[in-house]
Amino acid sequence: MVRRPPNARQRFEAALDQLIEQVQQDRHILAAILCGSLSHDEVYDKSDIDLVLICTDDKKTKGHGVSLVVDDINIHTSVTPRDSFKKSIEGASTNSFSHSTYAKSKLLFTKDPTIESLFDQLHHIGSRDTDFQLLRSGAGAAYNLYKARKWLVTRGDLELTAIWLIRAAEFLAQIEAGLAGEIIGREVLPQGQRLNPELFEVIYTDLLNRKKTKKAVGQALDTADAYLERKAKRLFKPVFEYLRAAGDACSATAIDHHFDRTHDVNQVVAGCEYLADIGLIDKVSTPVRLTTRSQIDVDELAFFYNED
Amino acid sequence: MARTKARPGTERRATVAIHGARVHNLKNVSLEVPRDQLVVVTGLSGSGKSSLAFDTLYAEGQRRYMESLSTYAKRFIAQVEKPDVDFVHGLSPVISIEQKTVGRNPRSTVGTLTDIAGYLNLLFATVAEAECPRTGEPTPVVTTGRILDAVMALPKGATVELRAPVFPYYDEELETLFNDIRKQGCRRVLVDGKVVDLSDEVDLDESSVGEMDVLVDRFVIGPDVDKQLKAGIQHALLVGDGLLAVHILDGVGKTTQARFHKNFGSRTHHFVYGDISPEFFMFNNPESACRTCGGIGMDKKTHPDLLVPDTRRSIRGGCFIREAFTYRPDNWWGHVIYTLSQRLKFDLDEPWENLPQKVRNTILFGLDKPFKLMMPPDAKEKKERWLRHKAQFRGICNNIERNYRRYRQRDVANSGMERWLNSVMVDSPCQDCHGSRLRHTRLLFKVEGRTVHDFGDLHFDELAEFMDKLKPRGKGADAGRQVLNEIRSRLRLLLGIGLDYLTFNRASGTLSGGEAQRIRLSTQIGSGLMGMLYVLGEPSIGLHPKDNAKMIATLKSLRDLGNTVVVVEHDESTIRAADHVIEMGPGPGIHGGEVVAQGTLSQILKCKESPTGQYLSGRRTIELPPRRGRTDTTTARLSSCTAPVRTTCRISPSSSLSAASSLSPAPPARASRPWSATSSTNDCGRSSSTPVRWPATMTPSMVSITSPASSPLTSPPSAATPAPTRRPTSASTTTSAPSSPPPTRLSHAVTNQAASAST
Repeated sequence: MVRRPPNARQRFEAALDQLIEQVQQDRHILAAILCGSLSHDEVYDKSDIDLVLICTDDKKTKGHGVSLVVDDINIHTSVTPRDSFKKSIEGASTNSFSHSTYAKSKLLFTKDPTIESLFDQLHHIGSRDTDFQLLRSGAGAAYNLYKARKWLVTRGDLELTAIWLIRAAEFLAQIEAGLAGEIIGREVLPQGQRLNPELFEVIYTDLLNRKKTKKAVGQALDTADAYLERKAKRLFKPVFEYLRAAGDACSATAIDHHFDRTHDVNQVVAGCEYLADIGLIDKVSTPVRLTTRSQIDVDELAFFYNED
Repeated sequence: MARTKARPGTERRATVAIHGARVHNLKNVSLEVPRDQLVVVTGLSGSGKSSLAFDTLYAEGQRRYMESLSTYAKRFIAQVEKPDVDFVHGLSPVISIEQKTVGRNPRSTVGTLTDIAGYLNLLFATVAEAECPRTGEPTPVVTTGRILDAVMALPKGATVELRAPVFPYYDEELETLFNDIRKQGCRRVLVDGKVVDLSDEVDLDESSVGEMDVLVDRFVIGPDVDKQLKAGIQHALLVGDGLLAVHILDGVGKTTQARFHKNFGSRTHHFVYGDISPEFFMFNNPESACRTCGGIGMDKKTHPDLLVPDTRRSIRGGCFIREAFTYRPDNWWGHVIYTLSQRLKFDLDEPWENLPQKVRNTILFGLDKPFKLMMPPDAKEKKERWLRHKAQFRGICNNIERNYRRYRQRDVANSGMERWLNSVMVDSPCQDCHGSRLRHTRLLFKVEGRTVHDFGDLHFDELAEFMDKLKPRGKGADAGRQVLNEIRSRLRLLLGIGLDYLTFNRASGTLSGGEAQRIRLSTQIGSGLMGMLYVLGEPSIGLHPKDNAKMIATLKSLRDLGNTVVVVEHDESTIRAADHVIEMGPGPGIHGGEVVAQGTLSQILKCKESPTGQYLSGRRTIELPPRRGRTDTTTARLSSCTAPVRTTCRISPSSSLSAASSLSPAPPARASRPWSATSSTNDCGRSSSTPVRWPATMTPSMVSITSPASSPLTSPPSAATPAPTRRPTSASTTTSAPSSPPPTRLSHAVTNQAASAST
């Protein structure tokens, strides 16, 4: 009987098993977590393995990265003390990069039962975190769609418009995944295609595969805009809540400060401009002085929201 | 103690020889200043006393010391100019203690200035007894190591959970606290017994939230878990601000569990404080400072009187200072104010003082109900879309305070912003820490029932008395006794120098130059250095004659330590106490710059060329004028002061006084201490019930015109204390102040008691 050469996955898994066998003998390593493609996706010959090794908490052991090799397969390993790992699991916002990485990973072994329970928490997607993830994605989509529209209207540049539209599509895919309660992956567009094939056919696949005519690009842009507008009240929920609580005109500086300080969300003002453009909030102005020594008042962009 | 005999030829110089000094008006002066003695340099103003003592002796000593430093060190020090002197022999390391006020850094207090605050913090870290923040029960203070040992002693397989109690932030939503918890790497909080996942929408009634414990980490006890457990304990202490609780979840029988908790932690909540260091009580440590005021002890509030300096102006005419509000019909606020004027029926051109109080309050503090906006007729841009919705107005004061809070939250100091805030806001005690500058958990540590802030609030004489009775107990008693001795010895120095009325919490910026000088003097004595040359400038200024003897005794003790003390002074008692007197003169400026006389006091008294000697010996006197000026005491009054009380009052033109008045309270004479105020508007950071002691530190407050009938005057302090004659040229003094100020505004009436100077 002729033995067939092992496929890529088998080779990778064999190399990983070999390494894990060695690592388990190290009493300072508490657990191993497989991240990257091998844990949840396909691999090929040129792939590598991403591994996180959780070590004991020791003053002398700092988190660091080390590239290992087993059977000619590169294994990029991050050695993380347990305390840091715990903080990154609980401190990271749901669907942040750190959360997504761990959420799609696989626990290979652990000598510490509490790591297993920490690992279980990863699959819970918090509604509050989702609100702010949607806000980030919404503000990102609004900004990219604004740029796409600009290049279409000012230059009539279909390629440039399409590029900005595809960038916006990535944010729209994040919105789709977020609304569906899924963990947002790094490659989120396929998730979006699966969740909302009609939308992504127009704004993504057709845009890539078909000839870029003014009509097609314009239609894609309109479709994306309409989608965003339909979801705006949900996506920008924290902004509406903030402005409602303020009950007064809030300057752009105040809005940015609030979201940056309390939620680590930047550029919310871009989202506010979008909301004002579609008439969900009002754009007003409040006086401001440009420097601390200035005596002249100029008008700063401000926003106001009243449910009535 | 045996003295070592100097080898022949190596005897120490007995004098500091100055040759050919020509600094400022000094006329090639050569003289010898005896070492290890108290030397007073006197003479009339401008005669060259300071040129000799500071600009020659001190400057040359400092320059030579700087020259002895390494080239590397010299790179960081400004070059000192060589004084115009041929040579100075026999110099020691020289320290100058001048009458200078301390910088206005709000973080500097008498405690930090004298280093005693550090010792107090150490004392509290060593011997203080802690309380549970929830029940007030005694709570043990232990180290991480002890917590680790206690937990590791549990049976193998036991599951423990580390919990850290948290408390809502003052004047902030719970959301801010929850975000901070999340940033610290925690996600689950036990709120009143119910686990809340912070990644989810948290639906809580903020007003009814009781106990909150962050579930920091969980461990299964085993042989290899110690390092993880230690890291977890440290993390929990960080989240819980020094406090944690260990809860046993599983794997231990009830008896073992009960025994564990009995020996470990507070009774009800099983809390322990861990790793308490002196920094835990230090308000200049960001981790310990009050979150609201950042350790300043003061907060800012808008003050309507600052916002509207000229009440005769109208809103449209610019009654508000520009920094606060300017009416412009085109912007949002313009629309809002115009709408308010229509709704509340007032005219934007009406002077502010004529507007009804309700209208003024609405403009300053806002309106609860939303209202539909109206377009001002004078608006150039017609913004119809603004008119669609209902607007809400929080008021000019609230808007300024909102900006202020945002600025404080950014935690970045900005001098321009501070200037702006100072123009529209006034200082008031922080409502969160009530002036203690510390987080609440720090005030749960007590020594004999007093917190570290209480210690700092005691006057030095009261504190010394308290400290003398203090007997440290418990495990830190030995170390505590050593710390106590350090504090006591430093306190004695401060008491000896007549500063018994000060407190450690007193801000350095409020000290007079003389007080600051004496504090520096006491720290020098406390350092115990010998062989130094101290140069002091008029230490008796600002000192009540009663305390002058104490000052002289301090100077002598500095000398007796083995130092040379050179004092520039006019004060008679100091001159009489000197071992050696140098008199500069004979005239001021170009007519001076010579040594008129020098020698011991008896030599000076006999010297015919010495005016000081002649006056001191009584050969010359100042004749009293046969008739003194008169003042109408019923009309001439100091009134309408608008400056901060600590600074010079501006006397209104309507009450120009025709006689000189002065305030001269004897600080220790507390019964008659003037300016004592029980108003909560002082900025000392005291509670409103604590009287402010002289000199009071107050917010910009008004001194109003008060008639004698409405202001019962206390006896002048000079009447309560002996009336010593300070110098032949001193002024007789009288002071008066009301016993209780009006409730709304700090008000002081200072009545001219026809005090006249006998100069």
